[in-house]
Amino acid sequence: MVKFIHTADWQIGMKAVHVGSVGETVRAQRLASAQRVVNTAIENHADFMIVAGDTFEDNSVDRVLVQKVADILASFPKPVYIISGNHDPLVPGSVWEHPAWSSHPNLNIAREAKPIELENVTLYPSPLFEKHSLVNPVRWIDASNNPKISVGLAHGTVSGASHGVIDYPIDREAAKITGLDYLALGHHHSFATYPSADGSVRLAYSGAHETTKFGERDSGNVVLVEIHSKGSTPVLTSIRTGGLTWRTLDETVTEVDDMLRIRKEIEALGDLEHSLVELKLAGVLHQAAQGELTRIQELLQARFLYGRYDASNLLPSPADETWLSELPVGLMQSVARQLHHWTDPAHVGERSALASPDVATRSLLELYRLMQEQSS
Amino acid sequence: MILRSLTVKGWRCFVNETKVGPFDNGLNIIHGPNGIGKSSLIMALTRCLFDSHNVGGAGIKAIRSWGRELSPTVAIEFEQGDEQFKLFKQFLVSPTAQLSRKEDDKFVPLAESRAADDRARAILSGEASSRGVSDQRHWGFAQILWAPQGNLRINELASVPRATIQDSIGSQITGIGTEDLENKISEAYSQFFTRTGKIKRTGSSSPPIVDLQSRLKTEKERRESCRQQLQAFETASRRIEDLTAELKQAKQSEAELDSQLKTNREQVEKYRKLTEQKKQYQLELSSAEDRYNAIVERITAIADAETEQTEISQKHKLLSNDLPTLEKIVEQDLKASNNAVEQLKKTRLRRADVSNSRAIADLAERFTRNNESFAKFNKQIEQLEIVTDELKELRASRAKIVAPDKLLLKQITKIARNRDDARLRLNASLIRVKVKFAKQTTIDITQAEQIGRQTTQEDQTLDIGGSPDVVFTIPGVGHFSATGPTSDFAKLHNQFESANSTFLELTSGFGSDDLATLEARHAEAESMDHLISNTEVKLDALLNGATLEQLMTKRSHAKNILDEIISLYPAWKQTVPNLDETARDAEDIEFKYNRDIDDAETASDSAKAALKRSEESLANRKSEIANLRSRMSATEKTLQSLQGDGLNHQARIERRLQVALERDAAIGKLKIVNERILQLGDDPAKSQRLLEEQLKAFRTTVDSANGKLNTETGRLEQIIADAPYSTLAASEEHIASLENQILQQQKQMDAIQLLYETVICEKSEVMNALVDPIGNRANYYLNRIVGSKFQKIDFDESLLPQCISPDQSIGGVDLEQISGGEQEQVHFAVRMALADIAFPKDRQPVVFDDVFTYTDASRLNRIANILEESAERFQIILLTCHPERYRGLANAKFFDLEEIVNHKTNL
Repeated sequence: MVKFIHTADWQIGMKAVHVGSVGETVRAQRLASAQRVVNTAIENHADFMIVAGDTFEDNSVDRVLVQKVADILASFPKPVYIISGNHDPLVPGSVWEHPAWSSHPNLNIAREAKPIELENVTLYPSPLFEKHSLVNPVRWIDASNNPKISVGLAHGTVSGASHGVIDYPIDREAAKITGLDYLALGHHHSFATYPSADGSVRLAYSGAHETTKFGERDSGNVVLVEIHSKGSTPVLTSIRTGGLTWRTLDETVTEVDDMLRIRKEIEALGDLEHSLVELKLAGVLHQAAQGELTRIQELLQARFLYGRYDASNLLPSPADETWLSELPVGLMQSVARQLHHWTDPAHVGERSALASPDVATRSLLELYRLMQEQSS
Repeated sequence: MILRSLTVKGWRCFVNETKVGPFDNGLNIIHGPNGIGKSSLIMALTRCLFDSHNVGGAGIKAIRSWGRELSPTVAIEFEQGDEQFKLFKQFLVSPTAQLSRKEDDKFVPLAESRAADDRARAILSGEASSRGVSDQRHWGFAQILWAPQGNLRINELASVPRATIQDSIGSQITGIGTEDLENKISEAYSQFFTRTGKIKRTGSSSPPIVDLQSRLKTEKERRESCRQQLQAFETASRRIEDLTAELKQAKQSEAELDSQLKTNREQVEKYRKLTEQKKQYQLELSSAEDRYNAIVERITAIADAETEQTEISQKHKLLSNDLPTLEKIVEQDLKASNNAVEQLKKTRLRRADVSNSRAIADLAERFTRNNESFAKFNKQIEQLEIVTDELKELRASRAKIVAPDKLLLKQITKIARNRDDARLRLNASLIRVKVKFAKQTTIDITQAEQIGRQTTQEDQTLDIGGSPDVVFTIPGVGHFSATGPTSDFAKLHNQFESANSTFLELTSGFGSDDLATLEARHAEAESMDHLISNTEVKLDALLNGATLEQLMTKRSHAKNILDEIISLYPAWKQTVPNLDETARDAEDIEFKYNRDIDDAETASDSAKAALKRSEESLANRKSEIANLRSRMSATEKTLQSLQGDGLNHQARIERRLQVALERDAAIGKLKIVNERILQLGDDPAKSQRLLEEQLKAFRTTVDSANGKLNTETGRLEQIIADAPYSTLAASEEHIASLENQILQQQKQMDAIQLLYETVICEKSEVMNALVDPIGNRANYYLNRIVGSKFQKIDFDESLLPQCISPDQSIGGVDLEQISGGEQEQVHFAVRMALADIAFPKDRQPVVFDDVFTYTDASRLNRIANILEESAERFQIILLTCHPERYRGLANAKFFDLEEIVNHKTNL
């Protein structure tokens, strides 16, 4: 019987361009999540931990981060086995040359592809030595005749797991082919398993321990792996470690009240300081709902760790011309009508280069704002 | 509003109270001469309506009566709606304003001071001036309706009349709040953009986007720097990988080479020892060989010496036997040689025959040559003598002919012609009297060319010539005198005498003065000269550059040679020798001589050579014999020396065998050593040097690679210390944040810009709609005044004319470019058009102060017609110094200001 934690893709020091000014917080949260991973391993009495690559976003990250990660991992009282990934390959100047690794006896950096013999387990680590390669990293493994429980660590792309650029391709049946009881993978940020023909799962991505971006599903977890004996089916348990909540709200506005509903929904969201919220609005904007829209903007910016909204698909309601009558007659109403025409993407009349529906909408809003200022 | 009267006092030229009115509802003409105060009235009207009563400054002081300290006052009575008002104002001293309304036929105060000012201005929607007196901008509707002296042009339409016109047209461009909102839009726009539509880039008022963009630029530069560092990290990392591999390879090679070098060193030592052994064995062998060779040589030398002794002895005997034979041969050869020499001497004696025959041949040739020369000279001298004689004869004949040469003859001929001409002229000047005597008589000529007495014969005719008179007396006959025409006889005579004298002088040496004779002689002399010349040429040709004496000397020389040769060979006197024959004889003799001498010399040389050879053979033989004797003696000595080792022959043979065994033993040892050396191959010391060099090179490579590795590692560590990725991450996040802010700003700016541009565009369209009715109305008036000369007046957003188009084909012409009169007419048409549109219903006063300064009479008539028609809708008040121009207006009411003023003054 062996029990261990499988994690990967910590990508410490990663860029968070998509969240702009809170990037530093997001980065800090990945370190906090790393500590949660260790805590999870301790709580579950894991025999050891394996980190299947991409612990760091890049080899040239700040060395302070390297020290912090090493210290966090060292807080686990049992061995930790780490392989390098395509983001942090074993090259001269890599993070793995940092003295922190050798200062903690429980940390084991696999510096070559050769078996590591434990008491009742043999580990087959496949560290990566370059960023890109089309070589199957587990091709060297042959555990078919190993009487001990055989666990592989690799970093690559399981066939069919990604439609993007394929690096380090790994066969779906790699565990069976190599005779491994379990192949722990890194690279894919979502928790994913690949059952064999007999239904047993011997190959899985743990996913990133902390969600990386909006729209990333099943991330922010580690996998607790339990294998009773050689050849027995591993038992996988996904355990949440992520500290941030990335929420994407896709909302369609049709009625004046919809904007109010949305605001209330947003106000009802919990865990505000650890939430990153993206609101995508589509549909029509009634002038009466302008205030709600402004309120929502304020809510998003003030209440959450990070909030943003996209109202580019929100067009002024064609039927909502009530406020136009409040404008001074003549020129201003004429201007408003022209702008209103331009807010319609289907408008076939003359359109100045600047007058995209989005800009025209904003222009109308500006006119409305100025009118409000004047009347007040 | 209808003006009813205007009263001024203490106002510029109006010291006393002067009231003009009551004005008619229609057309009013106020007229008077210049300086009477027409413009002062207009000024009073505007100051009263639009200026505050307590206004200060130079402008209001100018209204005071000149040279007086009076308080200027003005009062206007007018109707507004159905009510009548009176507005009174006093300026400068105790300023006062009062607006009264007529109530029960009395004017009752309605407002005073500032309230009166404000209400007065409101009548025509005027505005208070913020500083000093008002100007046209503050006049409200009066800006359109009232034109000060000579200035119909409106420079800038104030907002109120403009709004009124716009409202009147119905375009609600400036609906309530529009202007404020438009200003707000402009204000919002101006926060971001300049007037020219560019983003404000500088100054404190520049929009946040400028700073954001600047920060973005800086951040992008930082990002680029990070990227470069990342690239440098990659490069350094790869370089370290390469260098590590290179170093590993070099170290491996170094280790291999080191091992190889160690092995090689052992081989070198082994090789060295074997080589030393070899040298030892070589020395041993050499010694054995030396000893063996020595004994072998001694044995051989003794045998050789003994053999030589025998051979020399035998040879000496043989050679000694041949000596007499050789001596005999020498004797024979000596004899043959002497014979040959003798024969040669004999042959050489024939050399004289050869010389003789050659001398005869030469002499024959010389004889023949001299003989020919002599004949030639002889002949030449004979010819010379003949020609010389001829020449002498010719020269003698020529000497006899006395004739003028060609030049002299020419002179003589010329002088003769002159003389004859003089004679003819002289004769022509003479009076000639021919007297034929019937009998002998005498005649005394007293005046004639030749005077004197002459005796004449019977039938003799005497020709007497003279000049100017011929006078002669024939005794018994009478005294005759003939007189002819006077001429210069003496001069002619002198000319003749001069010519004749010259002629005689020139011909005096030739014995004749007959010109024909002289010419004949000249021809004869010339012919002779020619013959002499030809003969001289002939003589020169014969001499051919020599003299006769020289030729005769040469002939004599040839003759002497011939005589000398003939003295030797007398036969040649008779028979000239045959040159060919003598030459052939000489050659034959020489040929035979040469052949014989060659043969004799050859024979002599052969004999001498044979003698020499035999003598040499003899000498050699003798020398050889002597040599053999010497060798025999030497061999004897050598033999004695070789045999002086104290050994006999047998002992020497045994010794040779012993030494040979010693030598073979040495060869055997050497062979073994050589084989061992061969087994080692080439001298390992050479490989040693090479290997050491290679090792050195490898160590250099390792050192170099180590150095580079250290450098790269240092560089990499430096880059790592900067944490470029982390810096890049922060930078890109900052950039994203900035870009997002810029995007938001840009969107807002785009929105504001679109809003502003839409306002401008819409406004422009509305303005166009607004301008059209004004233009149409103004063009209507202008057309009535000037006809179709101008197509149209062009207006812009200011609602004022900008240019005028003469016709469709020509674009707009600036108003300044048309005549002064036409400018007046255009501005009149515009004012009337604006007034029509602004006040379609309300009757308002139109006041023009002498504004048609440059307009001609016919167009002024048309203007007057328009004014008369307009008086149906407006109250028209014209101020002019030319009332006659408007006399045709039947409904006009005239006010003679001069009369009004004078009347008041009189009062």
